Amino acid sequence: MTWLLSVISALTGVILTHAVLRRLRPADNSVVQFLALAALGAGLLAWVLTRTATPPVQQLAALALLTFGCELYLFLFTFAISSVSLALLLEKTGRNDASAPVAQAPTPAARVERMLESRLLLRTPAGYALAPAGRVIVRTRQMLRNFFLHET
Amino acid sequence: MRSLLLITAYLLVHAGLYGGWLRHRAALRGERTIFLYHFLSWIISVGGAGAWGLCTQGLPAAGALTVLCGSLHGIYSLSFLELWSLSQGSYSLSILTAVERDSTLESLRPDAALLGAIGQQKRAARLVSLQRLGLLNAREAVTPPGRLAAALISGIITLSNGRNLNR
Repeated sequence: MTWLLSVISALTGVILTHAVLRRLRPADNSVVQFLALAALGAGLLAWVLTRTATPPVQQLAALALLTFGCELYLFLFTFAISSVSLALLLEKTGRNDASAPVAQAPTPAARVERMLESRLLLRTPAGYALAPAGRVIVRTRQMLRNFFLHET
Repeated sequence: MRSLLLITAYLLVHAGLYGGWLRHRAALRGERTIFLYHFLSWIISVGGAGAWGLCTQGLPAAGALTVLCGSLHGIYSLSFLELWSLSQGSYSLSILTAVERDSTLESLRPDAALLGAIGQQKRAARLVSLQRLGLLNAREAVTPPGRLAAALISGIITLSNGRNLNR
């Protein structure tokens, strides 16, 4: 079961290093930071497992578990910062920063600002327009909606 | 390697079944049913992998096979459900789509009533969702599970040094 302990150590290491990096370089893209650290963690884990002569099935299981753990954490922290439902729940429990309370309805200002930073939107004299990356995302979303047969 | 191939084949059949047949069925279009389709499959495949490992390779390998199957199915299901959910109703994607629809003007003012309306609709729909999940009661007050969920979310936001964007 040493391989399982190695996975837990690697995942904890990735999450804690990400927490430190977010404080040292808060302006950088948090998802890119996390993905880079996760890749580094997976590489280190693979090296440790090879060095300790762990059987192949356990090695595969360890790497798959680390990948799943990282994907789950990535999902949780992006969901926590972007979900309207969670913002409402935090508002109701009074856990939101009192100096920046949740509006009566979620305002698009912060999202738009974020999308400008991520270069999904462009600022124009009249307002905003889709940037090429934003256009790709809208097209992809439409393809997915057609595949999943979501009602339009 | 045989185990990896078997697990991959199972996941491909699961995805193929959905893509080829089940997505056309109305019953599989709801949030709850699509989640159950993945969750039940996860339970069955993990149980099957564990039993198969025990019968053919002994306890240590069976444990690893169970973890391998559970993790690979978890990666697949989480990705699938995230895409399903994002394509259904993400606030950011709704804003991008609203900007794209304004093709005659090629732009949209940040304070446009349309974006505000999206926010209002989201808020109303999400309040109902939170009540249905038991995180808020009928008077929109937070329940004990809601407090626990809020504490977990706050912990994750603090750990990742983030802030909720809906403020």
